[in-house]
Amino acid sequence: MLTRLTFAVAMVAVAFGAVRAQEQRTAASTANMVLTPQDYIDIQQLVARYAYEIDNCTNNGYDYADLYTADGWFSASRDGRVGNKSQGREKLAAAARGNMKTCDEVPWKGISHLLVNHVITPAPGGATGKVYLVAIGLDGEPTKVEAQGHYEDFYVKTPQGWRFQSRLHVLAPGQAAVSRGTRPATAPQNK
Amino acid sequence: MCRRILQVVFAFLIASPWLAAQAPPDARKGRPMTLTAADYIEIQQLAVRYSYALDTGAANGEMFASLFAPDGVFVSATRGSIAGHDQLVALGRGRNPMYPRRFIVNHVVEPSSEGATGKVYVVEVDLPSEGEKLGGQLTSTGGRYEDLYEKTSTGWKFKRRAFIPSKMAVPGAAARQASTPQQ
Repeated sequence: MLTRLTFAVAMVAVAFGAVRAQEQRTAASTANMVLTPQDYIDIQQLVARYAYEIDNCTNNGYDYADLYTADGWFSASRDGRVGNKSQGREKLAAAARGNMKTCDEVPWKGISHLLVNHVITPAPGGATGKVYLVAIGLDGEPTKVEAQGHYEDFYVKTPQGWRFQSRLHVLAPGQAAVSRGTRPATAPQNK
Repeated sequence: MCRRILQVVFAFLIASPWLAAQAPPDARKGRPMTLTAADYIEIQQLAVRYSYALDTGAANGEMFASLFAPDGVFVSATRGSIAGHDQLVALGRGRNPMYPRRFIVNHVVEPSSEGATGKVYVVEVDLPSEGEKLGGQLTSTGGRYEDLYEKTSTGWKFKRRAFIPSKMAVPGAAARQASTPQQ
């Protein structure tokens, strides 16, 4: 009798422990991560590096790809529609080259990406971010400037530091295209 | 015997931090400095003060000169190397007081063995003087700075700041539309 009672108590204790552990895991997965000042700085640095890597297309695009996690992705939203994802190191490096063979052929070559008003918010498992994109040097003209929407990001902390889990380039509603780094072949020149 | 070995080991453990500190600089060279969050913020502040100092000519150029280490140098293709207090003050006097022109973005800071390195875009905008017409003109004279920062007894300073003008590279034959959206 005593053995049976002991067994029942033990089973209840195990079940209670399992429920508590599950509750704690659930709470941890839904709780926002606590960001230190160094985390904010590292995320700011990640976003600043993005501009250099996309503008210079170094290492055949792989320096850009290495700003992302192994399964990280980039995509673009045009007029509310999200396009195909460039996911994984190879596809991200290809995206950094504009899907060209080499960095020399990148369509936006000559553009400077200015990333301003960077907001970082703690989130479960990492942080979200949004930042304006202003581009200069468009259509082959050093002084042409254009607001090109914003980025919506998710950052995660990896053993190598903070990385993009995802980055979505969002244009303003009604803005379906952006200017490029080269002068359009058929379009009239800007005045 | 065993006690003597323990004494030697104990003495070595006590002395090792001191021995490490006595190592020649070359032995420590190459090891990046560890930057704290405050270091990053102070370097960011140094970089933004540069714009204010040069655009306003604050303190008759003294503010600009104070941003450089005693042996600090500013380098540009057009001006060459400018070093020393008096030369830096002369450069820092600027052309018009309260003339906002240099806007800096995308500031990357990295630890180095001698302090930190940095690079930052500079966008130059010609804004009309107060009272004149509205609007302004983006110039083609922007580019980026490449920096060496040094932590001195009076805070982080420029050991070296080089201005690299932007280059418009327009690939001719390769100027075709790509299948992926621009990032």
